[in-house]
Amino acid sequence: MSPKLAAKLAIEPEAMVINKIGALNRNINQLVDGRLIAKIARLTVDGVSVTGPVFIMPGLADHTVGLQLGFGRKLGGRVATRVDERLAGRVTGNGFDVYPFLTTAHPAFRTGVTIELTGGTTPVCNMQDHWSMEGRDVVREGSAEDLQKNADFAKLGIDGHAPAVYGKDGAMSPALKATTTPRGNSAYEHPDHTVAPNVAAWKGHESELKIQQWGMSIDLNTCTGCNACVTACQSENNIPVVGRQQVLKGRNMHWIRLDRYFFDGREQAGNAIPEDPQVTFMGVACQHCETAPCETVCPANATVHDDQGLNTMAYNRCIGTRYCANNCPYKVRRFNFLDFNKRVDGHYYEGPLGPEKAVKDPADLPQLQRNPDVSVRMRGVMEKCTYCVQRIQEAKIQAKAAARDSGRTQVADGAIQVACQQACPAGAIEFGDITDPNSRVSKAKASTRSYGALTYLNTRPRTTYQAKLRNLNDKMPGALRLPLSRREMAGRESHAPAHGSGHAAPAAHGESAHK
Amino acid sequence: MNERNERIHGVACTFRKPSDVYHAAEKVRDAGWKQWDVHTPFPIHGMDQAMGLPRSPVPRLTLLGGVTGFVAGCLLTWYTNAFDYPLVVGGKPFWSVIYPFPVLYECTILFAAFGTFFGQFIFNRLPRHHHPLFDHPQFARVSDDTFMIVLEATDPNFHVDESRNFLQSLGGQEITIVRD
Amino acid sequence: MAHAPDHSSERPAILDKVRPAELPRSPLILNNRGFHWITDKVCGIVEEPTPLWWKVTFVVALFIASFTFIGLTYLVSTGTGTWGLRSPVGWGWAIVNFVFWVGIGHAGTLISAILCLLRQKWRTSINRAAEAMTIFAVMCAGIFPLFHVGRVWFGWWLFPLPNQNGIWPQFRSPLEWDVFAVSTYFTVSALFWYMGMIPDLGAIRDRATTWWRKTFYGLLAMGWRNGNRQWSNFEMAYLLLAGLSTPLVLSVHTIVSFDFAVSNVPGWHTTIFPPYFVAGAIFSGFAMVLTLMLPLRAIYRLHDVINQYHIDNMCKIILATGTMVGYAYATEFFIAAYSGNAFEKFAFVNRAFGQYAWAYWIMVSCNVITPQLFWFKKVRENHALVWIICLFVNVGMWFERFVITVTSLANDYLPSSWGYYSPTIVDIFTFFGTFGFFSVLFLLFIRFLPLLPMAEVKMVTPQADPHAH
Repeated sequence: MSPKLAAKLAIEPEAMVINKIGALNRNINQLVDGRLIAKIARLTVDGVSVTGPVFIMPGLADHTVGLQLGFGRKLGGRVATRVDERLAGRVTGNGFDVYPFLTTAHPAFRTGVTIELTGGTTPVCNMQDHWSMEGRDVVREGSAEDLQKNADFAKLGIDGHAPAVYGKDGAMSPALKATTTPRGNSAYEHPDHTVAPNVAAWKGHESELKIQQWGMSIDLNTCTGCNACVTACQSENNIPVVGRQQVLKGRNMHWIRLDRYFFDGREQAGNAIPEDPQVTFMGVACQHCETAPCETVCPANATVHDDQGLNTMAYNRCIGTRYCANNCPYKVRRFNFLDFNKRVDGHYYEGPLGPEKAVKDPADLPQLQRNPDVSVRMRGVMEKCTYCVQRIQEAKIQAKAAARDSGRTQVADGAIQVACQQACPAGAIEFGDITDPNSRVSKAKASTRSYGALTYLNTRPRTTYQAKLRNLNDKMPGALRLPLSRREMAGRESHAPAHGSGHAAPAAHGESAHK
Repeated sequence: MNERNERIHGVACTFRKPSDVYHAAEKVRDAGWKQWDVHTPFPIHGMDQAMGLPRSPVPRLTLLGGVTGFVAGCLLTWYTNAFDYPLVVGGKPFWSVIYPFPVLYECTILFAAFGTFFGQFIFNRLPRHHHPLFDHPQFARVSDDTFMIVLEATDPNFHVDESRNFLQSLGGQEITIVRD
Repeated sequence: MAHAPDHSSERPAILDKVRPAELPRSPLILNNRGFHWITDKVCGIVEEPTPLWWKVTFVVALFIASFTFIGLTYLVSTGTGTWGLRSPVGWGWAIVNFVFWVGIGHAGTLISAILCLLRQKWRTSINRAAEAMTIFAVMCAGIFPLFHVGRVWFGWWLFPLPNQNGIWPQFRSPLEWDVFAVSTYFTVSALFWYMGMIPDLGAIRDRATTWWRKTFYGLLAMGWRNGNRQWSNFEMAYLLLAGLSTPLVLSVHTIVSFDFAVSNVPGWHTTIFPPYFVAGAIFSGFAMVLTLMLPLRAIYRLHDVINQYHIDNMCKIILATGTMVGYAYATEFFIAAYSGNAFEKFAFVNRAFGQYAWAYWIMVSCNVITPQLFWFKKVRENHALVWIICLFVNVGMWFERFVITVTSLANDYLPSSWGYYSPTIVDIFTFFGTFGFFSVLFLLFIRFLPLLPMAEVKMVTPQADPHAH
């Protein structure tokens, strides 16, 4: 519902902690131990009532309630009911059913609805607790005017201040940078990615080293936040569905996630949910950093760099210390905390006494869904985006087969489409060989809007983003000179006093997620 | 038992105070004894000089251990990370002195400690669970509060009766013969 | 004191008339106890029949230790998810517990080794028990890095042993350094502790009457004969091991701090961590030594050998290191503010005022404020109060590691990944079980091994001086 309505209903966020200027920060989204505990409300119109948890949505029109249809089905059939429950003869639904409001007379909206709180609460699954970017330079936006005045407007934030990562090697072409890994301002010389390991297996085969270097570019301008990439990645890579309880505990397994940030232009995420924010989506998967911080800290050599620039994950070597996940500044790594692949939700905690495999479905649907090219991970191993290495390998094999003896084993641009790229309806994701200046991804990276996230850490990510442009028509009433995100960043960087407690309102707003 | 058929290990006498045994030891040293020892419940400060003992050789094994440890650590880290299976990890060098330094440091200390520990046993000729002194009645009190000087029969100066008188001249009490 | 005239090198005449006053030193042993009393006291603890309080405490400790055993069994059979870990907090109670226990162990080595090199004679009353505490604490600590991994049965891959993958460990990782550091620390501490015990085991052997006691202590004593030739090598080896243990203990907690400092997480990546952690380790370790020794002193009537002088010194060390830790907190804040790095600044403000502010303020009040009470002599002489303050110190030090580990991970670079960590019942019981495990080991130590180093204590009595009159 809209913030104004929430305030009227006196869903008063509880006081949480005194911030350093003495103001009481409010736990705006009723987080209890990191879980969103939403109040349940009852809506009544024309004698028909529905109930559901209340989710305060920034930017929703005042005094409006949005309802999600599709949940609470009683007869889910094979697809919507859990296999073991169905085979046991039980039919269950999930979530709150709001279909009673939908009638032929009113197929889209209702007016004159009364709302009251029932006094109950329920936890609501939310994959992203914090809606504010806290003035950090993760998402970068500008306007057409910005672009005209200063083509490099995307070099914002700490990157603009910190010593340039490449230093004197900054003028090198991207292709050379990718293959020779120049030292730049690093404390030590980096080994080339194209050096054959000094082991017997490679003797005499050094020329077979592929020098193609893979990279990705995601255009924030075209991304609509539709989540197709998330779904595609999940299907392609046998990512387990962990279930509601585990998501509530923060253990969702998605390799690519869509971060969603609301910007209200104020210096800090204050005590009120923004009523008129701007929103940006940012798809974050493993950035395949050339100098990956995760690789350095793995004691078992389970995550190392391959010669084509991929940060690889060796599941069978991983002993699960989780140091790599801690050290990843993008937090893209996912750990198999329990037997997500072997067990069904509800049986994760039963240890050796639980049912060993998911209850067999006569139609074998879950097994049919799995991708045979991707291994299924056991508990205790770390996983993350692999740049769909199975697709890369397939393309390389086919190129080799096609090349026969000619030695022309390079994979053509466009032959590899990684799952997220393939599913994106807006074409926001480009993937390919960055040593080829004519590839689509190289051209995307050559754009002046292109930037890397958190590059000041010298991670040298292979995935870069293209900054979003907003149409700021200054003839409109209430026109903004700058995108709101830039106003937040400027406020941060001006070191104005009495802020820094934006965290303290870990206001969590997710997408729909009425479960 | 027939006294004449038993072998004699040496003669011993006891003292009650550290200063007594200290001065007595100096006299024994000055008399040119080499096969003898002073048994005390705790190490007496300055007794090494009073006995004329050279510095303990344990540090040599410590040094040997430490150097071995350092070299072993270097070899281990170099062989595994730079030679046998070099992998590009975080863009870091395959080998340098810096990143494996904690491992090198710990290996040095570990092997030096082994050198010290086993060196102590080697130079003390331990473990030795059987020794004539363990059967000697007064010996049990040495670890309590008694100080003892034992002059061994293998020393050229040794003669049973003369040595006993010598001990008496030093001020020793309970002068006894230690049997093998 | 008389001053010699400038150009004179002869002994000043005044000394013929007057003997210079000696600086009075606090007696290390009260009531002028002699060697035999010390032997009787310490061997008596081992020789007397098992007291009832010991049996009861042992059973209780075993029961509590079973929590750890059960918790770990459940953990390994079901998965790391039985703990409260999540994305982004990959390390929670387990690593906090690890650093906590390793830190406690460091005081034992400090007392044994560093105070030995600094010729602090008062260390002799407590160094045996403190070293034992070190070894048992390291054992408790070692449980956690092994079991917190997702696949414990492959934990041996952390050692450079040939394996089916044909891959070696990765020596750039601080966790790999930890493997070497903690193993070395455990080994060297055990060697040092055992070697130091040999003369005392010999003393017990010499007094032993039953055959099993003679065999057990006789075997362990390795045939020690108390000869000065042996003492000469022994003392040299002891000094060398002390000299080796000193850089070892400093390096071990430094390497443990590198688990954090070498990462890039805001709030972790600071160069202050090594000295800060070492000071904190000594701080918590001494508090644990006092926690153990004060009751033992009362039970076994050791007031003459562990007297107010010893307790004073330990309290003062706690005060000094606690102040250092407080200073480190202030420095961290200052540098974060001064650095201008938004992530770093945020990390520290978040600690004090964010969702874990409760943990932060517990930490500050226990670590910075409570030890300041030790400025007051009246407090140091009230042993019940000292004991309580030491408990608070350990609680505070546990919370310090919690604040460092969890707050930095929970709120790091990308706000979209922020999350809240809370422990599960398995976390909690596994941790408290380690106190039972520690107690079991320590009780066994008290019962069967010499609690005080008799030879060393005798050595520092005034009667032991060969030049005394």
